[in-house]
Amino acid sequence: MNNAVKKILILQSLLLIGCSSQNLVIDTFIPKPLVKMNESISVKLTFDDQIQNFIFSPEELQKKEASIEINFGNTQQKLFENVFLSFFKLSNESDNDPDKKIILIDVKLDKFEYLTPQTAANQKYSVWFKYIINIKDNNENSIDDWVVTGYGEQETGIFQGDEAFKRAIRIALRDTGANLSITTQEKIENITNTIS
Amino acid sequence: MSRSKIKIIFLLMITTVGCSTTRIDEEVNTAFTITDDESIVLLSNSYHTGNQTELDFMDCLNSSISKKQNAFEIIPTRQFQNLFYPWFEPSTAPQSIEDLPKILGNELVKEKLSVMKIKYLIKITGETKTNASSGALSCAAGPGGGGCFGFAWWDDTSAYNASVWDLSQETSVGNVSANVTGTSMIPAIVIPIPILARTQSNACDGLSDQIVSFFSG
Repeated sequence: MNNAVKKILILQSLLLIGCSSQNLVIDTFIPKPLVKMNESISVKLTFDDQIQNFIFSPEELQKKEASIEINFGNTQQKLFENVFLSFFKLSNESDNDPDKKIILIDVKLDKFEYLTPQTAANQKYSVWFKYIINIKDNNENSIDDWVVTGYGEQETGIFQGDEAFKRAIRIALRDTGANLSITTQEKIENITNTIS
Repeated sequence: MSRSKIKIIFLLMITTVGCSTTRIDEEVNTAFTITDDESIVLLSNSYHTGNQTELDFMDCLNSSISKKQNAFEIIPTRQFQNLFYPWFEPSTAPQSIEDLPKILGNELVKEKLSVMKIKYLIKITGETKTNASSGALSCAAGPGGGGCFGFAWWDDTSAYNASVWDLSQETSVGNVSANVTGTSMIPAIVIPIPILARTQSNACDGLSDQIVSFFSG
């Protein structure tokens, strides 16, 4: 192998290393909320693309600090289904009973932000989620708009590799579920009164 | 310096520096009882309020109390949070005794606590901190081998408090606290020898002993 080929191979390998990124796959367990099921209301859920099989890629600014790709799969969708279907029954498409009370819930991911130990100059990962939730009646008249957030942090401590970051994301998702459950519990009376 | 002198110096270092000081305090506010079919739960205060109680400390405390007695049941923290989700999560759990009535006003929560016979909730606060550190340690390696030389030390303080809440009376029945300080050091002459003061582990041991004795009357 001549010198030029060696140089090219070395350069190529360096470039490949420079472009490599961390790839996190998130899957989490959110328990079924301990809340009262409202049998008289059915729900139709819709999610934006950033909730169904969302893959997060950092923006240019963040790329300089840490190149991380996060694959959420359908974790966020499962979280919202788990919470809302503990309060309401899932509306059946074929169900055309005009007397049945149906609400439409549309969920959008507004913000996903994080800080790594490198960016925050500390020993922990911090993660934030912010969702916009729009509640409508069956005629698409708006009933309520909610902003639900979730926050999680995890010290790097004893965790190897990306585990602390994954744990911070899982904690933030679990916190989102908790805040969403509490918000729904507090607002359910308003929803029931409005559609009645 | 002869080998025997070096050995003596090392032995002295281990026996004088590798230990820690523990202080345990207990305060009982009202009379209380617990039977062997009733349960307690440990819960740490939230990081949302600045509390930084470590997960491994909570695990240690759960397993230590479980091993040290059979006078009552202890429900592991994570299992309890899953069963009562979302009411005892870091951002939603009661942070002080004044917050208890709001949670216990929820019929589903109150009923489940009663079915599971969970009588006391123990709120844990505190953390392990490094107060001061000093010294220098450098290591080098070459084709002929490697080694370290120097001396580094640091002071750790593990301060934890357990506040015992009676869930049926919605009152605080008492407090237990453990405060452990210790100095760790690493002397290195070719091979570094870490002499660690296990303050967090000692605090876990001291606090679990005290919680068990608190309920034993």
